[in-house]
Amino acid sequence: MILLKDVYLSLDGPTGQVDILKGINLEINIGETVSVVGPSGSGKTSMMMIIAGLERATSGHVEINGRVLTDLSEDALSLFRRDTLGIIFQNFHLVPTMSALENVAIPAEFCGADDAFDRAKKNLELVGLGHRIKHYPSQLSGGEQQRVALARAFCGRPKVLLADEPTGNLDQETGRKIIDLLFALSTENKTTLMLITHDPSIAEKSTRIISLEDGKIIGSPTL
Amino acid sequence: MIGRQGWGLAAVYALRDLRGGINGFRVFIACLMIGVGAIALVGSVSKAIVTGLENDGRKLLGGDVALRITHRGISEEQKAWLRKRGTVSEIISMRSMARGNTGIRTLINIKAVDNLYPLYGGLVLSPNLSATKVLRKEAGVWGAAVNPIILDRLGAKIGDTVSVGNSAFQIRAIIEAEPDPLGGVRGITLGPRFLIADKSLPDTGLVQEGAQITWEYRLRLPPQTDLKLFREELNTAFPDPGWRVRDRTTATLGIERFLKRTTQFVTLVAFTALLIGGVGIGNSTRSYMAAKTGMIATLKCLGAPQSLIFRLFFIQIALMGVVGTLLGVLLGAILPVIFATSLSQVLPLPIEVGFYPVPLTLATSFGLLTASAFTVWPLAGACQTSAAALFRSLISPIAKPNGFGALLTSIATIAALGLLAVGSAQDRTIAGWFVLGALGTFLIFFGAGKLVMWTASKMRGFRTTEFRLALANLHRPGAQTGNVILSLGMGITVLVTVMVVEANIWRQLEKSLPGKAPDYYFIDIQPNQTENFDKILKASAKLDFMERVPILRGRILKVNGADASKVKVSDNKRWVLRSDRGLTWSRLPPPSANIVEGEWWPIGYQGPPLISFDLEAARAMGIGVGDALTIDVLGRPITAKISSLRKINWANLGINFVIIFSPGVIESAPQTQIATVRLSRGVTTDIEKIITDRFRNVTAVRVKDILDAVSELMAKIGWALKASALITLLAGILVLGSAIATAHRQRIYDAVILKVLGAKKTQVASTFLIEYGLLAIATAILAAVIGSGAAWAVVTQVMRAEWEMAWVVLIATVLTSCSTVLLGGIIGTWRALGRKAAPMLRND
Repeated sequence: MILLKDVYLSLDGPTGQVDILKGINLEINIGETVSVVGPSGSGKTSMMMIIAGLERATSGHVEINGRVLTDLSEDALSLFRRDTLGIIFQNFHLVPTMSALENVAIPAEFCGADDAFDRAKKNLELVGLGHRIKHYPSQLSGGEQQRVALARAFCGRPKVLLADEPTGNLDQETGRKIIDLLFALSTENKTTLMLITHDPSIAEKSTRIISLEDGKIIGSPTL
Repeated sequence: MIGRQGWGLAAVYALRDLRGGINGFRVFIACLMIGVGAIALVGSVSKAIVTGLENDGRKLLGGDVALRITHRGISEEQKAWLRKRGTVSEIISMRSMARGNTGIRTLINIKAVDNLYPLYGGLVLSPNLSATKVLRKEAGVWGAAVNPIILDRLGAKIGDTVSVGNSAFQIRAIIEAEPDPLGGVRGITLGPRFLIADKSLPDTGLVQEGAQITWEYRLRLPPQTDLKLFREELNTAFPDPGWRVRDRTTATLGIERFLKRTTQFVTLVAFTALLIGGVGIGNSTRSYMAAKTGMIATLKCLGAPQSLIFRLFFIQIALMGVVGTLLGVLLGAILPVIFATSLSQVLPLPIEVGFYPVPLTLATSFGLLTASAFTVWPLAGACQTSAAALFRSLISPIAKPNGFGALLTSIATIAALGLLAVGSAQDRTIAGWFVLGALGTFLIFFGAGKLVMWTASKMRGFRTTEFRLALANLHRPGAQTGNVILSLGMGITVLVTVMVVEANIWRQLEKSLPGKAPDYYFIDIQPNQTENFDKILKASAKLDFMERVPILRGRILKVNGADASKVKVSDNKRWVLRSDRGLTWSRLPPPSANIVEGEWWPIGYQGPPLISFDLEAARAMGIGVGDALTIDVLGRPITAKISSLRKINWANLGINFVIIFSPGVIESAPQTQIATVRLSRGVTTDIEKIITDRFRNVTAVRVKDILDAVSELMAKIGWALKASALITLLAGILVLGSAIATAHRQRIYDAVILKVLGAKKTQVASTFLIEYGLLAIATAILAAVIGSGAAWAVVTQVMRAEWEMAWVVLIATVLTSCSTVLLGGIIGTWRALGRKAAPMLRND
């Protein structure tokens, strides 16, 4: 479960302090799929970073699957991410010097799983890239890279998956396939999914849409 | 789990990541390789020579033990004592003149040998004949084997007859290799070798009382002889005999000392190259880590703790450090082997080329420490990169590391580097000053870089866009200004120092020739020849000046009653106590004497022995006016009090003596006279011919020949120093390369944006030109000031010579170096100008 209570985030910018999140209250249940929408600069990404433990809230309570993130050290946050989270980026962020298989195996390797590469191979087959396991990111198309990222995100068997505009760099058709895959895998693995998107058709696929504006949640209609 | 597998997993990831190639590490490896290679090369060559000298000690000395004495041979009793213990070979050396058939004459170094010569090693003659056969008397004429230079100078060939003193010698062979060059293995040698039989010497008439002749007695001892014990027995049997004893284990100490000192200086310059390379290493690490920011953030998002990230990149950088260091060590170990033949031609010393672990280990330590010192900081900074960067789609510059850990590690490794440099040096004081100077210069240039950036940021009001942009380039975030000024500044400073010091030495030499220096020395003038000598000389040519004084040789035995060998004396004046020195006596102070302490003895002084002593030697020995020296003059120990100290200017090439006796002490001892002569300007009379024809025992030494010999030595040392200084500049250029590479993407982007906004190619080029021009000017001014300061310190404080600013050399060096900066900058950025805008903008 994701629980945010009165979360504020202020950052120091060149022109002074900038208030990014202004009292976020949010509760997402296990297995729920949630889309976050809102204009640029509304605080969507910052909220996701706080949930991922990559940014510390200035104040408020952040609790993911029973772990209060505000109390954790940097290394404990890393372990938390390793054991709990999967993340998908708009720009894929695969390690360019590692093959598709090695990229996917990273989370499982971090967990010390002996079957890291078997799991990675299986996940790549699941996303339809069983024939590309030895390819490097530069040898893959954008859609394929995002599928590798998807396979990687699920390799550590995450309880929560965060996706930041995962189709932002893909054409509509490829993007649709990726989203279908993302939702299918989330459902299959009973993973809580939080997805940032600007595309209303993608947002509509989730069980709930959260709208952010100027650092505040302005609506959370349940579909 | 990661904790348990920490290093293993990090190593797996490090190696996987390296499959992407080592492009980012090229400059890193090159910087390390050059610095380490230079240190390893210098160390290996030095060790090869020292080993060669040690292995060949017996051959170089010409015996297991050698006794050397001037002016006279040893007594029959002493000879008998020596013969009881081994085979004794007697060798007599002296300088004289050889005259060819055409009347040409040349200075020669006579070595008169007996039938036993050489006791060890082989004398190689051409044609391949034995020394006995070549040197014997045939058809009433003695034979000689000579250095081929003598044939060149006299226009003679094998078979021709030349005269030496009152005797004629037929040149029957040339010397290809002499087994025992010790005594000849000196920085400067005057007169090429003229090898004759000892039995021929009396015919020459050169062996006269007081003449500058050296007798040497070389012993071949039974193999089981304990050399230490032998020397103790010799000392007991003949205390204070006036000879200098060397054995095969101590024969080469003098050369080794000189060699180690030269090695030290060149190593320290190479160490500076390594320090400069360190900037490149740090820069490359920073660029590499910046390129890895995305990967670091990704791994962090996937749950990698900071420790794993640190270990991963630490392993990669350590691997590259080892590769760079090993390549440097390999270079240093292999080059002497490849160039062994050329080396033995440049350095007439036995060189035992081989694999020497000690200098190579030292170079390895320097390399690894440098790599650590300059990588810890950027590595730690990069590992603290926030993973949040990935979400914001912007890669922020590498953060400055938090905490003291990285800072302390960097400081500790730099301190360890300095300690290693000092600890491994022969003269730790000089090395200490050098390291402090290098670190000080490093800090000055570091500060200067910051100052230039700050000044550029504060300069406003320029209407020219190009100038404004150039200034902005100098101070914008991620600008390479500091790195370029630091590395090139250090490189140019070292080069300026070496060039200006060298220019000062050359100027000193050149100034000596037409100025106050004499044209000739005439040595071995017998006391009964002085009157005629003066008369003929003055009648032959118009002279600017002539000085003639008695000369004897003597050795300081005791200082205030204490054994001279136990007196503490600084290295640069140790020669005063080491062996025989020329000394004289005089009623009046010499015309050039500069008495700074005490007083000259009164006219008509008849009291106990007094001496006037060299001020600097006295300072080095910690003695002064009133202290007593016991001096062995021709086997007779004379104790005399120091009555005055003179500041001697050795550079004027006049007659200078460390010791001058008061009258009434050594006048009656066998002695010769030495004269210096300077002809009036325009006088071309061949007084060398006139004097040596009239006085066959007198030897003329042309000062020009001495200066030529000095120049030759200087050129050799200067070559080594310039080469190492150029290595520092090369390291600087490498760093410039790395700085340009780091900023290359930014340059392309700038060029593209400027062109999109309507800037002409020339305007963009002008911006870059102005930027590098400003960098070059700032670097040049600082390097010129610091380099000149360092050169001044070396010339006046270390060499104690006269300082004169070598403006032409300074300006030429600085301009050449700065042109390199400009050229490098332009070449590096030129490609950026040619980039098409569309693909670049699409990619972005």
